[in-house]
This record gives sequence, C-alpha cells and structure tokens, in this order.
Amino acid sequence: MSTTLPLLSQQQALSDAFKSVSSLLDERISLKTLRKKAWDNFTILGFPNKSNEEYKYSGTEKLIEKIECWNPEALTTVDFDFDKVRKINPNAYHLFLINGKLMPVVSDIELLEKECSFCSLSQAAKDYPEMFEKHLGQSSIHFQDAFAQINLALAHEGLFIHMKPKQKLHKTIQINQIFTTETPSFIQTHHIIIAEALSEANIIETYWSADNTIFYFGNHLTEIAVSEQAQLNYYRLQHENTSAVHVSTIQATQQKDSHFDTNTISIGGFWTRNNLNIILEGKNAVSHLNGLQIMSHQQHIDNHTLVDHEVPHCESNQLYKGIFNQKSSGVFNGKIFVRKDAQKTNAYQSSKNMLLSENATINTKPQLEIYADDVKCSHGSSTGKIDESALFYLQARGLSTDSARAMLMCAFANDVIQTIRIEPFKGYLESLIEDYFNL
Amino acid sequence: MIRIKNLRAGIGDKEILKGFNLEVKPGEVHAIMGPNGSGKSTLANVLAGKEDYTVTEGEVIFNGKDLLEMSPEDRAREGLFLAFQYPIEIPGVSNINFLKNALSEIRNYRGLPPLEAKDFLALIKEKQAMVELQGGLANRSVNEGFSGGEKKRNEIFQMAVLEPALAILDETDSGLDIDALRVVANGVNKLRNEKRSFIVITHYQRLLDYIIPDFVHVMYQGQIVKSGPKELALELEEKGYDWIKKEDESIV
Repeated sequence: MSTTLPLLSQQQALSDAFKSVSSLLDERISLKTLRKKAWDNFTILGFPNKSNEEYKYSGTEKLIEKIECWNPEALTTVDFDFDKVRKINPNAYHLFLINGKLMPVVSDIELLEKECSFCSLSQAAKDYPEMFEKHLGQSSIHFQDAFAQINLALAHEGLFIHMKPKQKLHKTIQINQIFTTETPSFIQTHHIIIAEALSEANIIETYWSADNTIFYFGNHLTEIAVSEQAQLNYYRLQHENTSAVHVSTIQATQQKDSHFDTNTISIGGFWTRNNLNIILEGKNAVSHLNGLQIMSHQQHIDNHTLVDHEVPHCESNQLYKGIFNQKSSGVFNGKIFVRKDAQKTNAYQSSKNMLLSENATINTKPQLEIYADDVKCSHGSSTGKIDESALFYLQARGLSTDSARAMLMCAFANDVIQTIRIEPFKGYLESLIEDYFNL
Repeated sequence: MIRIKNLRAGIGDKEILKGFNLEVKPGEVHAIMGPNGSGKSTLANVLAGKEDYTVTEGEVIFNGKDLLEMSPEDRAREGLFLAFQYPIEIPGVSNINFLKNALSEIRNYRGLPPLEAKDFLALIKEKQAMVELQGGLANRSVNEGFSGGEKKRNEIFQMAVLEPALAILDETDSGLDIDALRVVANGVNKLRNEKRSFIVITHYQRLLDYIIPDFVHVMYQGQIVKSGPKELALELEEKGYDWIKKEDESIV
C-alpha cells in the first residue's frame, strides 16, 4: 500500500485539525483518551483506497485530495427553504442542523424537550457525562473503519437524544441536516441516540445541501443503543447535491426483545458510502434493514451492511434495491455473522438492482459467516434490466414509453418504500420518486 | 376499420406471416382459427406493435392511417386493443392507477381532458360489474397472483374501460372453465355495437358458441386459407384441421 504525496499532506492537515480540536474541547480526560485512541487507529488505517478490500470499488483518494478545510468554523444561519422540508412531515418535531450545529430558532426544541432529553452533542458531554461517556464510541470497538475513527477523534457537532424507559414519543422526530460551505470542507456530525427499555420512537433524518453545486465531504456517525423491548424506527433520506460526498456510519446495538427498523434512501450525492452495523446482543431482537438507491449520471453509491447475530432467537431482514442510470455505479456488500451460540437465528438478505443503461454498473457481494448449526439464513441478489414485456403491455394500453418506464421504476422501488411506517414520509417518498421519473 | 394487405412478418430470419390479407369493417366480428404454429398470435402481436417482430412486406391501414408506422402506444390511442394470450404480472403497478393513466393519455391524444376522479371511479365500477371482476382485483397490482381466469377477465375489464374501436382477442378462451368463458363472452357481447369491431383468435370453436362471429377464417402457414360464415367453425370442430392442411397442400 503506497500513500501518495497529496494524501500525506492531507493527513498532516487533518492531524493539525485534530490537535486544534483536542486543545479547544473542554472534555474529561477519559474522553480525550478515547479520542486519542480513535486518532491512533486512524493513523494506522489511513484514508481507504481500492487496495482496501472494504473499499475495493470505492477508493477515496481523489475525493480526499479535494478537501481544503478540515475543521470548518461553525455557522449559525443559512439561506434555505425550511418550510419545504417541514412539509415532508408537518406533524413532526423538526430539528434543523447546519453543518451539524443545531439551529434553535427554526427548530421545535421546546416541544421536544417536553417529551425527551435531547441536546447538542457538546452539551451532552457536560449535562449527561456518565451516559455520554458510556455510549460514545462504544459500539465501534467491533468496527474498524477509518471514517468512523476520524469522526470519533474529531467530531463535536451533532445531537444527543435520550428516550427514558417506557417513554413513547407522540410525534416523529425529524432531524434535517443542511450543509453549506464556501471552501471545499470536511464536515462531520455525530449523533447518539439512546432508546431505554420499553421506549418507542420514530426518527427521520434528512440530508440537504444549501447550494446545488458546491463540493464538501460529509462524514457522519450515529451511535444507537436500543434497550430491552424498545422499538426504534430510523429512516434516512439523503438528498444532497450531486457534487457532495457523503459517508455515514450507523452503529447500533440491540438488547433483548427490541425492534430496530432502518431505511436508507439515497437519491442525491456525487459519492456516497453508507456503513450500517447492527449488533444483536439480546435474545429475540428483530432488525429490519431496508434501502433504496436511485442513481444517475456519474453518481456512485456503496452500501455496506453488517448484522452480527451474537445470541440465539434473533431475526434480521434486509432488502436493498437500486436503480442505476447512465454512468452511475453501485456497490452492495452485506455481511451477516451468526455466532456459535446464536442458534435459531433467522437472517435474510436480498439485493435487487436494475440497470437502465449499458454504462451503469453494480457490484454485489453477500458475506455470510455462520458458526451455529440450527439457523435459517438466506441471501439473494439479482441484477436486471427493465422488463420489456411489461413495458410493451403498458404501452399497448396507451401509455407512452416514458410513463410506462416510470411506472415500472416506481413499482420496483415500491416494496422498499412500503416498509416505512410513517405515513406522510412514505407519501412524500412516493411522490419524490414519481417526480424523479417524471410520472 | 382495418385493412391488412399482403402482410409478411417474422422473427429474425424466420418468416411467420406469409402474405396475410384481411379486411374488417366497422361492427364486424371476425374469428381467426387455425392449428398451432399457423401464425395467429404473431398476427396479433404484429398488429399491436411488438418490437420482436419485423415486418418485411405489406401494409396495414387502420382507420385510414398507416398502422405499421405507429408506436404501440399510438396504436392504442388510435383505438386498437389487444387482449393478451398470456397477460403478464406487473408487481407494484396498481391496476386502477395504470388504467387511469392509460385512459388519460388516450384522451389527451384525442384532445380530451382527463376524466374527473368521480367519473373515472363510476366507470370502473360499471365495467367491473360487467365482467364480474371482484373489487379487490381491480385495486391490486396488475395480474399479480391472479388465476388464469382472473387474468383473462382483467383483460376484458381493461378493454371495457378503454372502449377501443378494434379489439383483438388472442386466445382469450384458453385456460378458461365454462363459467369464466361465459363471463368473458358476455363482456365482449355487451361491448359489441355497430361501430366496434373484433378479431377473435381462437384454437377452438367453443368460444364461438358465445361470441357469434360474422366471418370465420382459417389460418395456416401464415395465410388465410379458407373463409366462410360462422358455420365454418362447426365444420372445423368436426373435421379438425387436417383436411384444411391437405386442401392447402393440394393447391400448392
């Protein structure tokens, strides 16, 4: 593995940023130690390139080289149509973040505060030190990824959401992240979400660019703890501009009898990498991981999922679908570990993709490692083109080629969208996809 | 209504229609019968505009226009309807939704505004009752999980909603039990009028007990080899197709 000169200078710039962040943050020594450790991990790992098996189809060097600012200053205002985003789900607690920093004036803070404890990440370090420390970076012990480590080492903007035991949120929390920058910047956000025993919550997170063309490199980490009998639905929509780079890592742990549903919808971005890691630590935990990607032009997306069945009687179910047009490309890599003790595991994985052009590509790789003997596991992947006979059927009824194609695309995307349990958001996505295909 | 002259078409190098001729006038019902492989379904697909087939010779004039020059959707918008022999399942596309869009595009082509939602629903309700299609089926994905009979009924339902000028029924009777056959035939008969024409492609005479044709044609090796009144169908039922084949070969 050789590191190119521009990358070395970028690593130096990042190192300088790390030093200045460390000196500025007034954090407990244990946290400083954790951040230092993450930094050390990163320096061993380096920025991933294609010789790294995990980034085989998604080298990052060229994107890293474009970054000019590693620790952008915090902003407080942005020119953005907040109402447009509120309309997605009018009956939700909306939290707007600019480059990861909470914008109190436009957010529903007081309403949400009545229901659960939440604050900015930096505030949580002060207000909830024990809980903060318990959860920060804990799940990443299992997962050595350069971007997650950089995030742990440096990120200090983001949200802390804590649902108390038995707490049932009346409304959905919708976190709306807006990114903006004048120089090509590296923007990091980090959330911690804790669902205590028997709590229930719906969380939507959306990602937007304030500007349609500007490049920035977002690196996001969300650490989630779902306790016994808790239910958390966490749906994400990535709708950034087609110059933006988006790396996100979700680390979730689940305890006994818990439910965790995720849905990762990606439409925007120039280059996207989603890492979704779920560790099933308690019996009878159920996890649903769904995803939909609609890519065109030069867009690239890489979804890596990992479900670790550590204990018996858990279920995980994955459905990832992609539509790739023009020269876009995609990767799906789905790991499932079933540990020796995890008998009676049900683990299913399915990746279905549609290529609309000769130049579009998709690489899929299921990776099942099963060490228990009494389990039900399956995986399947398919890549196809548009069904010509279905197209002809619709045309023969009077539909134009374009609307027939659009109808088939929407139908293909539909079974992922139908897994979303928040009605207005589901409806919004349906019409977003219809608009995308001009239906 | 439609005039097909010396139509030659096939897949790749294989010629299937070898100089096919037929004229159908408004309000007429023509039955096309013939043994397997005689080119009946090819004819239906070529008329509907399926791309897999290449037309090498001949012309088809539909309502005064060159049909072969048109895209499949324009043929439908001009009033041509094909009830498919094997209606395919399209998961995720709602039957009603797609029909609504199809009807709007057809109306738009003819310079008409889309139907009001309530008028469309009334239309759907009426036509559903006509073909005895249960409400649930119309709201489901196109043909998904439908039985063979339900799929064929759905074809007739779509035809009833779109009200074409010329309907081609491609072996709509195949795979139907007698009750389903009667329902499908009833639907067709209700749609018969002095303007609307039908080409009924069938292998068996049975369907023609219910849909009484004005003319019966026998197709063999890509051509019509014999035409006659409705009684011809009975003759075919009795004698099979072998005598037609022999007759045809003796002419050659």
